[in-house]
Amino acid sequence: MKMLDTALIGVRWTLYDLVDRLYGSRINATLNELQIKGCMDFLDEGQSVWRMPGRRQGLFRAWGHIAKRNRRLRLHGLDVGGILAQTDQPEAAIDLVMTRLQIPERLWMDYFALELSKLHGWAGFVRWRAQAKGYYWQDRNPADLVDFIAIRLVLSLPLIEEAGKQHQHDFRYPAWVRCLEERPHECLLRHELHSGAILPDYAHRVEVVLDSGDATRIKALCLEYEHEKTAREAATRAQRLQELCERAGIPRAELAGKRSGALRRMIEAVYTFRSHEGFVWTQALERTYIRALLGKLAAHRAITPDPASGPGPGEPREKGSDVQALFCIDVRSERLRRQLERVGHYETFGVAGFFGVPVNFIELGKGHETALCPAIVTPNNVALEMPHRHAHGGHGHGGHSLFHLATEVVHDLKGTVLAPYITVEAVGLLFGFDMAGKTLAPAAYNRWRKTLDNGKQPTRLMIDKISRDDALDLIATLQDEMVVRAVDRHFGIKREAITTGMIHELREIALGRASAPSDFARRFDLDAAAETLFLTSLRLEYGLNPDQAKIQLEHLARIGFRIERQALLVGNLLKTIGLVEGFAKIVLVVGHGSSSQNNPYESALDCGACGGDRGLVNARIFAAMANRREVRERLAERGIRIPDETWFIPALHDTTTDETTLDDIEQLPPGRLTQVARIQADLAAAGRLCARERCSELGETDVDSSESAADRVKRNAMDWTQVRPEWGLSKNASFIVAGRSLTRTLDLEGRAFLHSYDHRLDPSGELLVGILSGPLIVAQWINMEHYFSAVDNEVFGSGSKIYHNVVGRFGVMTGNVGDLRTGLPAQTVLKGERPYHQPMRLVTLIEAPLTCVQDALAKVFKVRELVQNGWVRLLVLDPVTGCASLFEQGRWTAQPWPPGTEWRIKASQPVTAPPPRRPRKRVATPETSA
Amino acid sequence: MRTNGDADTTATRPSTPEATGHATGTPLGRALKIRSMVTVAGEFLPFMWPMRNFIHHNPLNGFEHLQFEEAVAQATRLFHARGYLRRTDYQALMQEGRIDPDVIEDLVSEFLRDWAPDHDACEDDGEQLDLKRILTTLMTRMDQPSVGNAYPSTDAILARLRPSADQP
Repeated sequence: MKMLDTALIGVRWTLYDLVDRLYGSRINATLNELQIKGCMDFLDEGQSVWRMPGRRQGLFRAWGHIAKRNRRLRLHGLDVGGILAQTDQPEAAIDLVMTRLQIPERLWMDYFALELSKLHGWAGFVRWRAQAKGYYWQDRNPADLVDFIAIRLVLSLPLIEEAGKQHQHDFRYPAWVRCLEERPHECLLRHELHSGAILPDYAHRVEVVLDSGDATRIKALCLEYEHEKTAREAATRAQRLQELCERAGIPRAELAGKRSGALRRMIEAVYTFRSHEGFVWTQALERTYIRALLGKLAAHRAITPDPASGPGPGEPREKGSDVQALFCIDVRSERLRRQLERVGHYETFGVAGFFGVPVNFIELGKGHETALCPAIVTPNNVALEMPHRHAHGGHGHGGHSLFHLATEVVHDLKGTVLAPYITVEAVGLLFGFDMAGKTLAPAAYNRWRKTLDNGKQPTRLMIDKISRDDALDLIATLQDEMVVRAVDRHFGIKREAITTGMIHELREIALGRASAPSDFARRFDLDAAAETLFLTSLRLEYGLNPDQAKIQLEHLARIGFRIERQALLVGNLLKTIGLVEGFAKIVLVVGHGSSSQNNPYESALDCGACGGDRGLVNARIFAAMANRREVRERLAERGIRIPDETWFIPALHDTTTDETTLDDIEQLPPGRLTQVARIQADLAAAGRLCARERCSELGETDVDSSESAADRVKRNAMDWTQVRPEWGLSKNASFIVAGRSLTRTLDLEGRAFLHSYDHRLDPSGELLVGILSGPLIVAQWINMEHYFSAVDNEVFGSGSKIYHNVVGRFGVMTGNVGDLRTGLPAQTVLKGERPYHQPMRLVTLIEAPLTCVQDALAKVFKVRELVQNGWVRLLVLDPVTGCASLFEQGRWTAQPWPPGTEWRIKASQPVTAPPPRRPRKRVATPETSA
Repeated sequence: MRTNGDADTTATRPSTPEATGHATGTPLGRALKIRSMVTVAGEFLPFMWPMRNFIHHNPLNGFEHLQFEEAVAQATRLFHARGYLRRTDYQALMQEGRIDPDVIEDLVSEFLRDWAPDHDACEDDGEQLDLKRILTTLMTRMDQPSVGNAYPSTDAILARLRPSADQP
């Protein structure tokens, strides 16, 4: 048995961990509970009725303000007033506590990491929040990890000191070091006793001897205990090894006859292997999958033409395909693509579901931006949703300027009581006003939001830039509208009683471009004080001031995309997926989303490439851009000629029901409607076939036809008691970057992310770099989230949904007080007690020359790191050399592909620099059973 | 109209480093040092996004600079978590055909090849045990979570193994 190591104090154990472990206290649990309650109060985003006061001062100060008078803390024997009286700065509080506990500064960072690991969900949320740009709640109520740790340390100090008094020991760092060095036997026995590892027949004796405090007796008992425990453990292990060897066909008698050297080698091999076994299983799962995948692809290649001899860039595409469809790379698209191709003449492509358009979106009726793109991208442009009825001219080509539309909106909504909010939100001017609405008048706000949502009208997206002059005019119009509202609210004077000149003058005075008194004041006999008060209100409450105008102008400048940019985005996407010629008459752009009821995790089922949102908006924007004449003219200059008769139609694939709905069809030329009807029928048929596949995965019984399967999945989507509306991305396993010819018709079981790519269109490798640095990263995040949620659902996942409670409107926790649950729920990755998701690292298969892939990797550090360190498994099918190369443990191994021979080492070369291989030669060292 | 809570105070949090340090008497440099230590200490923490937009992420994102196996070892120690499934779960996957037993044998051989150089058998050791068979059996046919979580030392086990080897 091993004595407790002083080097682990502050690195593996906090000081109170040692108190808990050696004296059986529950300081850690108490601390967790107190800290969680503080965090829940402070971080609340509108769920609780009572709001913590003073949150604008920041987490530590707001908490400290209350903690000084908190009776609950006193009941726990905590008096934090001492420290809090000395400082209200979190850094200083940390300094004070760490100094008082006499923890050497060289250990501080490790100690902080330990503290953060105790509630990693809450800490992770605070960490995210602290770096999130423009996150309303963080801007309003700032919090960071310094605050978080300061609170924990301030709470821990009196608990440690109180425990010291109770046990008449010094529990500061130096005293612990002395204790472990000078009284190792006592510490070991205490640890055994309170960790529950003690031999039951020794428990009472150990307790009595420890209570006696007699060092000699303690040491004697410890030595006896150590000897006994080691002997018993050795006997158990020996028996297990005998059983193992017997199962391996080595009878006990034969084992007993072996020499010590052979037995010793066996013991060491078994115990060294123990720490690698999980990794070996993971590799086995991956290797089996890779072999099966290559086998499937090879069998398929044998019956389909090699793309190298098939249509090249510029040649006609898949014959008979009169509809092309762009799908998200999401594994759930694979089934629908396969079924759609099966039912009709469809050619499908896979691309990250934000369709290359990173955008902040402002939905009609909401004043805040939602980033619709992968979390690793920060969008620069904003798109607005506008009521369709304001958009004269109908379809996507041309259309009115934002100015005209916004002006119409402004005037159209005049009659509504809450018009200022709606008006301003509709044109995206008061970014953040949405939150103001929620804060200041939640009931009224919700009422009008409901009215707006229920009667949601057809919309179109504003994606064009607005000129500076139009922006200035627009702001002036809105400012005038504000003046009218303010005059009405302050004085009860209606619009008809004042002139446009008066409104303009008030606006100009508020903005500091004219001076009081105003005609308005003279006309309505306002004295100077009343007028000044009104003007101040205009400036402060209604935002009629130069600073606000400047901010509004900046916001407006972010709205929309210039035509050049639109052409660039559309062109890049089409080139990336290899669609530059042979356009069908209809190209579907299919985003995806899920629908379920009463499901806090609904967004985990939406599109990861759209920041956990539905993909329809990006599809609509992409289609609108690709349908523009000006965009197509610019694309033609770059060699991408989209015929006039080609029409891009956005659509949404509901991954819970497998229904696909076309959008913006009112913008289609009338002649296309017949074809659209047929497409809708095909999509419905393909969806029903998918539903049938899905029902068997969900374990649904009594589903004997595709129609009944479709009904069943629809019912799941509507059922608010349904904890597993769909499996989502569970079982995801591979990311295939290749032309569809490699996988078309193959059943990949909904486990593959499929990204279209034609290396022949990418001589510079730029497109591949783009795929690796964006979509692959997102897929790897998804893959790892599933991996760890499956292997330890309690720690890395979020446990069962049954016990979840939504907290603060931003997260869930199990029960009433607990850590924030961070990963996926059990219902997503487990089927009963068994894993449904098969945890393996993402097998990334790229069809391209190996040298091109290596060049691309050399340009993307992050992906290179992931490959070198084994976080993704990289497999390259090289059509030039006819080899399948797998990167494994720092080197490439290759085999001819399609295969005809066994795996063999063909070449060994590092990705760039080979990572040092982790030595397996770990000598097993004796350790305690704790 | 204002509700209780947030609007009670208009005091704002100091945003400048000067304010951070000066107001408490903690020297600015000291405050910044503590702040940076906390920042670095928190780098291992995965972000937790608000649920409204669930962002899939790698919970071990802060360990990606390490080899996967090493990262799992470190992170599972820190978070007190498992990094792999239970053996019985993998065995069930094997029964379903998701793991090829031949692949396991290959991987065990590779393990022994990497492990063996420092553990070459001596002539005095006599006939060696078939380690590949033993380890493969351990993985595929033993349903105990492991051969034992503690390791009381090779000698202690050996002492028990030989005298008891011929007992029933």
